[in-house]
Amino acid sequence: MPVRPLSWFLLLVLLGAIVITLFPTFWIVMTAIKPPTDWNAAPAIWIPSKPTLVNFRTLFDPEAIREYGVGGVSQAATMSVLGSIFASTTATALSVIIGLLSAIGISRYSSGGRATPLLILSGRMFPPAAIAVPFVIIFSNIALIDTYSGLIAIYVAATLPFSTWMLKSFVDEIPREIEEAAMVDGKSRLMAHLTVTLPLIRGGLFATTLFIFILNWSEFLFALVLSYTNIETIPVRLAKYVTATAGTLYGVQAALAVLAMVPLVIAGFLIQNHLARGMTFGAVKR
Amino acid sequence: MTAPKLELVDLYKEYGDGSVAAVDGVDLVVEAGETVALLGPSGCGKSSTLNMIVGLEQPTSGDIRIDGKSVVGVPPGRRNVGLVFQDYAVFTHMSVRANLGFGLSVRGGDRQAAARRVEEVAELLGLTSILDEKATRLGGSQLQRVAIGRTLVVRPAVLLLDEPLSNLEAESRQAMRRELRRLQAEIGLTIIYVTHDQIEALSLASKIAVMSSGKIVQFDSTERVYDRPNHVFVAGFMGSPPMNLVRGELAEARFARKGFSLTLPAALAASAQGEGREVTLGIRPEQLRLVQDGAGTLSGRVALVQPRGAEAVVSIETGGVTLQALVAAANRPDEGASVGLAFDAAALTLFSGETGRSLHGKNGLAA
Repeated sequence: MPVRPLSWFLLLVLLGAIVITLFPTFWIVMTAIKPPTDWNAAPAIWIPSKPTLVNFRTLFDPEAIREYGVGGVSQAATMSVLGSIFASTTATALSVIIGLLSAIGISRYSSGGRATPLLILSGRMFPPAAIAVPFVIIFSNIALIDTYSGLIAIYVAATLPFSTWMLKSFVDEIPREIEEAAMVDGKSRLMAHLTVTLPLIRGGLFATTLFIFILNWSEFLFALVLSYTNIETIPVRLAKYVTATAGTLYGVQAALAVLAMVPLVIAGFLIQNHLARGMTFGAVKR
Repeated sequence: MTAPKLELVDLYKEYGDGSVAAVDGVDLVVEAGETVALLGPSGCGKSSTLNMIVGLEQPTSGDIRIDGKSVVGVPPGRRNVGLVFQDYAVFTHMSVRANLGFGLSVRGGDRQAAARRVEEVAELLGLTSILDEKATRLGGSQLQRVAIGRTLVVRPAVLLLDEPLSNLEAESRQAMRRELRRLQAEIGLTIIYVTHDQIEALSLASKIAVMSSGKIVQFDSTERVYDRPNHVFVAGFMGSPPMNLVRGELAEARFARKGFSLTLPAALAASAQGEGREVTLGIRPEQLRLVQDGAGTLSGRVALVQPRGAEAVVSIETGGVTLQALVAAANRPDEGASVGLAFDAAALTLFSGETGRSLHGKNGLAA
C-alpha cells in the first residue's frame, strides 16, 4: 500500500487521540516523581518543580518516605514484585505451551470434535467474580489457598481459552501441506509441527505470549481473594498503600505502577514487528 | 525380472461411516522410468490414492508396493517417495539451500556429501544463482523448481506431482512442461502426475490412468486413451471439446434415435452383437469435416461458432442432436448456415448403452 501524506485535519485528530491515550501514562509517571506535598495539590501540579525518587525508594525501604514527614509504609514491595514475576511468567509459559498443543490438536486433528473450541471458550463466559468465591472455598479445602501453585493454576485455567484460540488461528493459517512435505522428507508428525509450523507462527506466538502475560501481570481479583500473607502480587500491593495518618500514598502507588509497566513496554518494543502482524489475530487470510 | 517401481493392489479407502469408498479397488502397475498421469475430475479419488502412495493416509485395505516391497504402515519419510505439492509447500522461513537440503539433513549422514548433492540438484534445476535467497522472495515457477529439487535431492524411487502446472501462468507452464520432460529424460525418474487437467496429462505423461468414482476406468498409453477410449466416461472427459456422444438404438446396422439415423459400417455394427440395442455412438470433433450441404453423410444447421484462435468449435444441429466439430478458423461457416458433415466410418466408436464400455475388440473387430 502506498503511504499517503496525512492531511492537517487527520494529523490533528491523530494527535488528539495520542494525547488522550497517553495522558494517564504521563500523569502516573509525573506523580511517581512528585514529593508528597505535590501529590494531591490544588490546583494540580502537572510537572513537579522538585522531582524526587523517594517514592521508588519507599517501595523497597518502607521508612524512606518519613524524610517528608509522612507516616511510613508497613511493608516493602519486594515480595509482591518477585511474586508477580514468578506467578505471571510461570502461568504464561504453561498457558502458552498447553495452548499451543491444544491449538495444533484442534487445528490439525479436530481433537475432541467440532465443539471443542467453543467448550474451551465457555470457561470465559462467566464474570470471574462469579467463580471467585467457590474457588476460595475449594482452594481452602485442598490447601491451595495462599500458595503460588494455586494462583498459577487459576491463571493458567483463566488464560488457556485465549492462548488456545489465538494460537489456533495462527496454526490454521499455515497450510497443512507444509507439514506433510516435512513428513515426506522424513520428519515425524510431532517434529513436523515443531520444526516447520512453529517457526512460521513465531510472530503469533510472541503476540500471544505478551497478551497472556499482560492478563496475568495485571490480574487483581483472584490475587486478592486467594492470598493472605504468604503470597502477594503487584496489583494487590498497589491497593494497600493506604495509611491511617496520610491517606492514600499516591506517589508510592504511582512508583509501583510505573515499575510494573517497564517490563511490558520493553517486551512490546522488542517484538513490535511481530506484534503488528500477530495482533491481527490471524484474521486476515492469504 | 525386476519388480515394478510401484504397484497398487486392490487398493481401497473409505472415510467416516464407510458408506462411500473414496478409492474403490484400484490396481495399477507403474514400471521404472514410466511417466504416468492419474487423471480424473475432482472427487474421483485421485488425491486419496496419492496420499496413500506417499503415506499421509492409510488404506482401508489393499497393498502398496514400491520396488516390490509393501510399504503399508511405513511412515512417509521412509518410503523413498518424493511429493511435489500443488501449492509447493516450500518452507518459506528457510533459504533455498536449506529447503533443498531439508530431506538430507533430516536423514543425517555426511554433511559434505549432502552439500554437494544440493549443489548438483541446484545446477540441474537452474537454481544455483538463488541458492542463498529466502524462499519468500521467489516467484511461482521458482518455488515449484525448489519444491521439485527438494524431492530430487534424496533420489526418490518414485516422484509424485500434484497438479504440477495448475498454479503457474501460461508462459511458465510451457517452460515447466519442457523442464519436467527434460528431467524425466535426463535422470530416468519414475514420475506420477496427479491432475484433473487432461491437457496436463496429455502433454506430460506417456501413460494415463483415468479415474472416476474411486475406480480406474482406463489405464493405457496416452495415445490410446485419447484415440480409443474404452468407456463413455473417458470419451466424454478427454479432448477439448470432448468426443461427441449420441445415445440411441441399434437395429442391424442402423443406429437411430428420434429424428436422427445413421447406417454404420457392418464390422462396427457387428461388434455390438449380443450387447442389447441400447448403444452410445461417439466421434471426435476433429474427425468431423464440414462439406457442402448434401455432400456429407449428415446435414444440419450451424447453431454456434466459437472461435479460439487458429481453430473454431462449430456446433451443428442435425436431427435433434448437437454435434461439435473442430475446424480451421479460416474455414468456419456462418451461424445459421446449412452444412453437410463428412467423416471416416473408422472414426466412429460404439459404447454399450448399459455398461458404458467400448465395444471395440468385441466380435472380431480390430481394437
